[in-house]
Amino acid sequence: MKETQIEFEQSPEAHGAIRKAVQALPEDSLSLAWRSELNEQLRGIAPKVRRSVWLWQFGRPAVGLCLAGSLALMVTFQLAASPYGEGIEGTLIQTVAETSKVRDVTGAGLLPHELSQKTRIDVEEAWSELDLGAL
Amino acid sequence: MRHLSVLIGLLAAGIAQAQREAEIPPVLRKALGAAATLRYSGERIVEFKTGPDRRRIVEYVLRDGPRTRIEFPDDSPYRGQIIVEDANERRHFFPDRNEIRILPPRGEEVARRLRSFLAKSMQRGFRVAVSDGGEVAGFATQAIVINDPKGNAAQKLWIEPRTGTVLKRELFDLVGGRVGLFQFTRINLRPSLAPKDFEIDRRGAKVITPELAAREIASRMGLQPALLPASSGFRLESARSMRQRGPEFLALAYVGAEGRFTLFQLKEPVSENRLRRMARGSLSTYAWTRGAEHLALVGELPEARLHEIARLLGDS
Repeated sequence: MKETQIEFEQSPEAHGAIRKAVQALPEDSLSLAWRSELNEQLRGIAPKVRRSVWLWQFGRPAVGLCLAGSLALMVTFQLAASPYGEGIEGTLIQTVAETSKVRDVTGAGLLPHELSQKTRIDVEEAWSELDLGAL
Repeated sequence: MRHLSVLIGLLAAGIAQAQREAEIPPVLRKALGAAATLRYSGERIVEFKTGPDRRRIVEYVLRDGPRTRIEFPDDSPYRGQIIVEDANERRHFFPDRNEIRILPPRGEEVARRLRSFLAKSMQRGFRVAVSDGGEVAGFATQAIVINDPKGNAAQKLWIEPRTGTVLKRELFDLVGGRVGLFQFTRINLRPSLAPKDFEIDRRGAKVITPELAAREIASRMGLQPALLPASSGFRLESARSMRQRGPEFLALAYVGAEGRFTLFQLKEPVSENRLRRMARGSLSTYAWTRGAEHLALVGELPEARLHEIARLLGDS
């Protein structure tokens, strides 16, 4: 450092001049606008990254689960629909085959198609042992 | 020489048949022979599968040889209904409709089907095993198990050996699942029975035959019911309209000494190839078209016999 420069920095006049120059500067309030802008930019980028992670972690199993569920429903309803096959032909065969099997145990009793013929009202004239009591 | 070989062949077939019959245990032979002379009154449960559902019914049964009367307990959905049956006819009374349905009898068919099953099964190498069946409805029984050649049970019967009464019967599917059961929970083998027990006499009741029902249902559906003449050897047992996952169709069930079949009538076409492909076991099929109607026969008869029946119904 040069000697003249040291002297300048140590002289009170110089200090005063500097102080005045600084005080004359327009007051500038502290601003964090730059940080806000940065945050905004980061937010714009960050969700994309997070969404793809979410899709990877949860979306893929969900899709798999849906597919497995659909398959299970298809299989279940297909089996429940007719073990004898699809279409009217399967229904006709099933109608005969099931009745045929059931006959062996029902004998003279009710067959499946007669089970829907339930008695709808209370039966009249149903006597009981009370009706046979002495008057 | 040719006559001699035919004679030897017939003799061999006769011996084989006799051997197969000898394999049927005496208690089972007794049960098959006793069906026409049994007398009892009792309560039994009947359970069977229809589609995915298992149904269970409680019945009060009176039996006097070929005559049967069935009633239902007061807490049954079928309370008040009475079924009587003899060798010629079955009458089913519905109290709420004051209606009597006249139908062909069913009782004899059970014994006939069991005999037929045994005959076919023995030819295919099935075996019949006898063991102590324990008590059923308070009576000691002998259990009969009919197994396929690999040892899978096709059905089981519990027989009271003195009278030959079948007190319990179970039927199984190919993987051992029970598809049908009946079991007496109490039975009186010395019952007090009266001839009137096997009659239904109700003045003013509407009498409906299967033919009448068929005409009514077919008319509602816009179809011409395909009714066979009595000379065909088959009787119409039931007529009903059905709709299961598809178009509505009319089902006419026929029964005769040769066996049974169902005639289906509908307005939508039926593929004979698909029908034949789906038929299982002893079922045969035949389908044809009559004007705007489509007809199909499915039954336990030879296919050639179904063709003859179709011709009786106008198939050229």
